[in-house]
Amino acid sequence: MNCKTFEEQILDGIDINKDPSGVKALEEHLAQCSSCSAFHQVVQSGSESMVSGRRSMNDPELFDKIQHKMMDLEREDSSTRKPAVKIVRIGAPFSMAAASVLLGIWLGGQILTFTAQPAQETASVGTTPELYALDIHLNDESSEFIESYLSGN
Amino acid sequence: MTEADLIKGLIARDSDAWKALVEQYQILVYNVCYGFLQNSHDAQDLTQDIFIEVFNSAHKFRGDSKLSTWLYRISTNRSLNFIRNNKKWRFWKELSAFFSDDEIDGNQQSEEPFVIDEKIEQQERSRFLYQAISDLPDNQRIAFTLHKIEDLPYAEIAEVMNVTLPAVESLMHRAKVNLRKRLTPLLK
Repeated sequence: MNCKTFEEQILDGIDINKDPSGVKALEEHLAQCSSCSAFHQVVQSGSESMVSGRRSMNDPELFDKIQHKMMDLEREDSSTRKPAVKIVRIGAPFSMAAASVLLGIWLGGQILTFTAQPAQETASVGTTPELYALDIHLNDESSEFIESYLSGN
Repeated sequence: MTEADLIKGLIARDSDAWKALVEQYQILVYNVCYGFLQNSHDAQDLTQDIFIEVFNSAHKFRGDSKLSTWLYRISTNRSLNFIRNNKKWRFWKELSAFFSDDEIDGNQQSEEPFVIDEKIEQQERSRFLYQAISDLPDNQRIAFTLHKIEDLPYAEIAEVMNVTLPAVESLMHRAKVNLRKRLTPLLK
């Protein structure tokens, strides 16, 4: 058998009662192979150490500790919920105010656009009479007069 | 209290059933957590969290497996999540290991030097093995830890991991191959 096989056996943890000849062969190999011997030590004492902190007896206070922790968690939950409630309470009036401001801005914009429309159109009048006659858009009597005069010429 | 009564009581949020569950299964839950975390303080904390989770999600237990299998599953998942979510965990663990070495040094007056050396060597070996197991992929790590540390048979591991028996055998084989690959260079 080679080192690989012995290392596998070490990881499997050969049972003395099940395989006494296997144990003897391993012991003979470990006596002459330093690398397998180191491997065996790491696996054996490492496993012992890893199970050494395990418990075999109940902690009599565990149930009380769990109950306290649950109460603490519930308290934490309720304290973290409060700001959310505040945000909801503040949120409604704040959003209404914001909506009114936005509505005001929109209405103002509409009024300004409506009053500024003729000036914009006058500014876009062309220099040649044909273009002038085509481009112009008139709203009052004097403008209508000018329009008929220009069309006549 | 039978297992069926215990489950009924838990679903009904009965405090007697709740207390019975903690008393009956606390060693199992703690030892699984300790097997993965190798830190008694963290294992203790996580045990409490697991029982709180069990209490809050008892209604989700379908009853198609044993209660202990369900607890093994929750404890395993929570332990691995704990390790994943606590990125600084490894650092603190190494730091505590460093200070525990100091404690050994502090006891030097009362112990022979070779005893101290032996303890340090043993801690070092244990760290090698734990590191190698921690570096395994999660499913191989679960199978190996449950079998070698919890002493669970393959059939029960298959139930806990919700996989087939040959899948567990394959996971164990691969875990051993990977452990050999990881440990051998460390020892040279």
